[in-house]
Amino acid sequence: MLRYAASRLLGIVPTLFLVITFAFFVVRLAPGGPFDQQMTLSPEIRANLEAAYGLDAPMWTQYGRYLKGLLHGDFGPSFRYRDFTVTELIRRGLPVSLTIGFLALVLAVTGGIAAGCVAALHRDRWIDPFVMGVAVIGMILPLLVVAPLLQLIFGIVLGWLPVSGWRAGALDDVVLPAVTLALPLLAYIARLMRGSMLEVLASNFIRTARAKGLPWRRVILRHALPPALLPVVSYLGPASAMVLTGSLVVESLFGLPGSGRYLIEGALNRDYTLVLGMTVVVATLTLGLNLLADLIYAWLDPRVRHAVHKQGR
Amino acid sequence: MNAVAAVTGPVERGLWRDAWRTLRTRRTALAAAFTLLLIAALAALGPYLSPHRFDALDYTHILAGPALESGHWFGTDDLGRDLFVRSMLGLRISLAIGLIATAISVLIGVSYGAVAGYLGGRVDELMMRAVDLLFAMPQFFFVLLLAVVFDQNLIVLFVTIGAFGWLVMARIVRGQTLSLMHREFIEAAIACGVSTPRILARHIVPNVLGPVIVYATLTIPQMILLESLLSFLGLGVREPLASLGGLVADGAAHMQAAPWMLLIPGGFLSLVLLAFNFVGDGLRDALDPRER
Repeated sequence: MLRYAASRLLGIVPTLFLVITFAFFVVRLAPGGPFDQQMTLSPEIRANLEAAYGLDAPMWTQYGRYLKGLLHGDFGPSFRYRDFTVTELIRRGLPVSLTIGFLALVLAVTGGIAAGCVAALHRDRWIDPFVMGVAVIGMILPLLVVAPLLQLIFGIVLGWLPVSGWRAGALDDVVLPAVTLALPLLAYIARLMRGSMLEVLASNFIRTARAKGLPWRRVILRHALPPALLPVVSYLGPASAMVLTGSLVVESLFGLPGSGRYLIEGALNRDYTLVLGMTVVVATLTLGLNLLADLIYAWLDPRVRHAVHKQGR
Repeated sequence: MNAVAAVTGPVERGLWRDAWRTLRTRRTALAAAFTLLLIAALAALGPYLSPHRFDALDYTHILAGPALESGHWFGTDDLGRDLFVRSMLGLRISLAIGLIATAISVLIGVSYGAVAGYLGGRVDELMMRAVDLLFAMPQFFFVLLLAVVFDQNLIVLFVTIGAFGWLVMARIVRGQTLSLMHREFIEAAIACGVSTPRILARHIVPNVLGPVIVYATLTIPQMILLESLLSFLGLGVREPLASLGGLVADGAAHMQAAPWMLLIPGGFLSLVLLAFNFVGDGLRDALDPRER
């Protein structure tokens, strides 16, 4: 298992390298530089500025420097926030984004599994079509409509929760963003869970378990649930990518000082190093979380686990 | 002739006929398709019915609520622009982006998947590895990057969003092609010496059309959503034009004073997304052989 994990971890490196290279050259070969939209600069000042940011060197040298910097965790200076490096900005924003994202993911997974199981186990009752109907709508309704609606209802009309803002450690600031981010995922996971649960419940080993007289509760929890969870686990990778994308909307709408908002502001101001740095961070996160989901899957699924063991020997 | 008809029975069968028969029983999908047609007609004709222009500022009606007498049927925004005309134009842009981006992703996905599945072996493996690789990347962030770099050019926007959606399509088409490769009619075509491009175009592609149509229908709302996300963040379609996402962003900023600015474009966006998804689900029941 450990060897499998290590080899998969190594497999990420070339992908990450390609992502960084692609992003770097898209940004650098694009028409227009970071100093274009300011007042027209005299050639001397422009040359000085470019020298200060290392933009006068040949492209390959710049690329080499950037890669070398990345190895030290240095994303270069920000073009927009003059007194900050991109690393500082990311370090400042990422904890906020990760808090919201992690809470949303936990909420979506627990809620989705629960809702899916309830629906699957009450298939002949009104609960199933009701839960699934709500899930379909929750899955399709766009985040950017749902989020302001929730703000309007819970923040303004009912006044239960703050509409937006971020005070460090204030729990009620977290609720709406995390719930908003979780809703579509929760709905999707509920559907996934219901489908796989029904499939597992129809299989032979469940019939055997029931036939030998195990209590229904035990059959569900010990025999049916683990295999039924597998599709949910394999969805965790794409789900975390969706959380990262969704947090852009949520952060800018709820006024959270997260890295997503820095990214958007950087993008609007053509702050290339900031956008580049964020893309690299997000790519690393996405790849890492995908890997994590795969590893959990391999660990949970006896078929994959045994195949891995054989390979490892 | 009559004898044959008697043997095969009075009911004609065939992929498309069967599909139509199944589709007719799917009430939700039909209602959704009808809704879409209605919305499309409204988007096409609506702006001509209104006395207002999409970028005209009406200083006497700023943040005015929906009213019949002023001609601002859906109200106005914070600059006094007519929300009805703006919503209709936003619908046009969103629908156009959905359709064009999907067409691009279908074009790339189908040709890529068919070639990979048909050639097989190492080429196939390499091509699919590339797809896996692209799949693992944070695609939305690349679209965002390109939108910034190319200055939110509308055409570049269409193409990048389209180039984002072909991966799943390529996988589906490749899988279908692989399963077709063992069928007799392909063997027959190869034995007759039909050229590879012709086999792909005449025998493979028509036979994967069912799943392609289903998935394409489900891709349209994804593309619309993607563009509206970009516009919502201020990185998509530029002022004074606005797609539904941009209008929703404006509405979210003024939702307390003018909730209609949020509810109307948001409602249209939700309705369009829901309708496309329901049509796609109906088509899947009708066309996808795996679902039977």
